[in-house]
Amino acid sequence: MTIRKVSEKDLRSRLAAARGIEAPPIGISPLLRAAWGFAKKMAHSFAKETENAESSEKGLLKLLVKKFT
Amino acid sequence: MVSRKEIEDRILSIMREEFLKHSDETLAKYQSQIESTVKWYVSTLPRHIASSEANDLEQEAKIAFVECLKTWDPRVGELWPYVSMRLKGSMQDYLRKRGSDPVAGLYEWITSAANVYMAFNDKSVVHEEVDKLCHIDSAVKILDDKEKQVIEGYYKKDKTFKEIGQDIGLSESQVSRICKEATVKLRIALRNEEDLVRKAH
Repeated sequence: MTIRKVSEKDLRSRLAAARGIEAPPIGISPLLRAAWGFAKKMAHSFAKETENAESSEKGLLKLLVKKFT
Repeated sequence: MVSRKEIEDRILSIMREEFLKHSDETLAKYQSQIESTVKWYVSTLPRHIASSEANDLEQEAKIAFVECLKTWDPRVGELWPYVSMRLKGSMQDYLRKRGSDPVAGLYEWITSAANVYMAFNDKSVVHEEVDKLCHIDSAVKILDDKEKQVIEGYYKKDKTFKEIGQDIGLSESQVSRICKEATVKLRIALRNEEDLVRKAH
């Protein structure tokens, strides 16, 4: 096995890419896990149109996780 | 095997159900934009229609907005562009229906005629007397209590759906639906009465 030093530029670009992707919570249904990016996008769209805590992005995703179990 | 589309549709359906529970807040958020759209549309109408229909058009626009929330798909685009196209269409449909509605037209004609009569003759004209002349009062008897309250409130007392809803404890959309259904019943009743009178002679 060879250990290669990762260049700073390479490290920075990989971290920036990862920062935009939030990992789905642990223990959720595999079906929901597969569509987590879509779910986040839709939750953001719906939450933008109301200012209610229950229908906020986090609230909608929590509800989704509950409905998919 | 569940397809990707089925999963996405299910996700949307769950979120939309929660979203619709707070439709009042979304309506409040877009209140000023709805009012601007209605104001712009009313400004394109002839003056005599604009002055009598402006309030009702605003109610129709709000009902249409809430209906749009049920069908809006965030995958396709933002909410307001989707809604704004349909608001104008709903107001146009409302005016078209009002224009072809004989009962609504008849009450408006009677009210205008009564106002002209009062102006020239300096006399009071009672709604009940005018109704008897046109048999509308007897036709109203076929309606149930809620329908009578809505019809009287809308056509006789010139109240908006919102005001009628507040009086009788119903939502605007429920009042609108009852008004449309009761108007159709009245039209049929008046037509049947006409046929009976014709056959008798």
